[in-house]
Amino acid sequence: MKNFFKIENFSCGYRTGFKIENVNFSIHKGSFAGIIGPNGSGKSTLFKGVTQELKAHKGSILLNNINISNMSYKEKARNIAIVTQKINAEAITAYEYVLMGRIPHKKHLNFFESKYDHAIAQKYMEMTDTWRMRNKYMNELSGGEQQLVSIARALTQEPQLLLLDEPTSYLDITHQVQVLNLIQKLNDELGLTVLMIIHDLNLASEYCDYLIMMKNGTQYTQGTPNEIVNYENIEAVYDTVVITKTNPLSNNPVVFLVSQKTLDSLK
Amino acid sequence: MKWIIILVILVILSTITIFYSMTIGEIKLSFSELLSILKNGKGTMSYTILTHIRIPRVILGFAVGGALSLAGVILQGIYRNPLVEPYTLGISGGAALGVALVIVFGVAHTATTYLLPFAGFAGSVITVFMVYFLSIRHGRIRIQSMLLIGVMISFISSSAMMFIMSTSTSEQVHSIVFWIMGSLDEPNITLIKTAAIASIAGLVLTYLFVQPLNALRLGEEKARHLGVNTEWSIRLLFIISSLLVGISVAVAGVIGFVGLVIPHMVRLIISNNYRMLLISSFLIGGIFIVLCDTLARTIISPNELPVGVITGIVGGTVFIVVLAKTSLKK
Repeated sequence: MKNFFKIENFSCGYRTGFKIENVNFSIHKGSFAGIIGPNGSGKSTLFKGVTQELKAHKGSILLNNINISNMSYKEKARNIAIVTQKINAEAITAYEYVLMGRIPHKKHLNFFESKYDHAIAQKYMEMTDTWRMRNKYMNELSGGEQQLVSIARALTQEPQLLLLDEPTSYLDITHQVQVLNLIQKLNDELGLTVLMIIHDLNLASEYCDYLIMMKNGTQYTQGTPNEIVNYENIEAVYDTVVITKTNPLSNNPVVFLVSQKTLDSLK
Repeated sequence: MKWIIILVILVILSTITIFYSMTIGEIKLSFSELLSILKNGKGTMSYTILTHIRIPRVILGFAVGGALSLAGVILQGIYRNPLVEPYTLGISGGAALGVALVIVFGVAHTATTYLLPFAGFAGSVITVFMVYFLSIRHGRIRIQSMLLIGVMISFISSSAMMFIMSTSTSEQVHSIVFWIMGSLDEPNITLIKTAAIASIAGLVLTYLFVQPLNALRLGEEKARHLGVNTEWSIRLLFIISSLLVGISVAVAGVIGFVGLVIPHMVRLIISNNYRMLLISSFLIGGIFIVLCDTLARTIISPNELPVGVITGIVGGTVFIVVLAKTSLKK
């Protein structure tokens, strides 16, 4: 389905200072989309706009043609699940944390989980390979494990759209790949639409099927990795000299950085 | 299942405490004596002592203990700070100031039983709402600045009270200090009933917010991501807890420490899930105050100690012991 998630003429920002303006893009149902761009380009501001931590100044965000600012908090949480960079869940077990994903599905006075809730939590913990750490406290888990548990929690919300804010930023390559493989699997097997902010251009190009590139508070360009991850775009947006080649196995573009010394020696 | 067992144990403990505390006093009773007096002792002296003095006092103690401890749980939950207690927000300072004003301006000499409690209640509620409205910026309540404003207002009101005390007669100072120290010796049955009903109503209402409170353990932003309307939840919870504290202070004066220590211990020992935390804190808070009060009125009998003295010493000590033990285990 086209235009499953659509951002139109969207502007938002902080009361004094930085804002993003005129952001327009739409992603298909079942797509694995990424938002890339340098620091200060507005990725996180856009994320906060989508999660509505920042109020929209202009424009709209549509999910299935419904403006999400017309949804109640609960409705939104049933449709869009959010995974942030850091989880500050102190003395809560991983299992209890995942079960909290059922909160948006509950009525006021219904504060006991049903069998269904437990079954869902177990299902997604098994899928994310976190079931074995269910009795551990969140603060005892490593950053990568926390990310996986957080994704399991997001899945128990049974959302239509999964939003992730740099899910790999604090992880080593083992865990980066583990987390992204999992998200890719969820995208394939559950048909879950994914939109994530991602810093690493190579990971973005390898995993995402659609990229939105931000620059100076608006989107610079968008398209498939093959269309937009090239040295012209990257040099224009990141102001850095790079070489791009193709990954021989996946045929996705790969970005190489070049040191100043090497550049000087070429002259 | 585990939770039901804990709950049953707590209810049994509460019942034992209540009955035990009724047997203690100038005239000691055994359990069987107590029961037989209650059953068929109508008209006797012991019956009158029980129904007019001990039972109301135990009810008040339980209600105030439950209310303060519940308020502590709520405030720590919405501020995500385990060191916040009902009095951190200037509630006691405001109440004391209200009472001091009434005493100094002489109205209390014509004292109606309701005037001082009302002054205390008004003082605390006014303070709390000042803190509340000063913390709202651009339509959003800023939790962290609320805490600071609360602490500042409590300094201001205690300074104002010092000022009032320094310019008043020693007799007035005595009645102010006496009121502030807190006591469960409240002769007015209507006030006791009010406190009891209010604290139970507070408990029931708070249960409507179990999920928001649970979600708030992750922080405001994450709670919103889970579909919680944090703005309204925090506002309503704040109002509930303020009223609970206001009423407690009005009826029993300032009894410190319960709201800080009890919730903390329950989190450590029982659970930090609010569906358990709320009721457990309420019951244990009640038990705690009733026991402390029993101690306060017997330890230097026939005189009485202010119950706040006992709650401070006992609560603090138990707390340190529990904390040391649990950190050893880990």
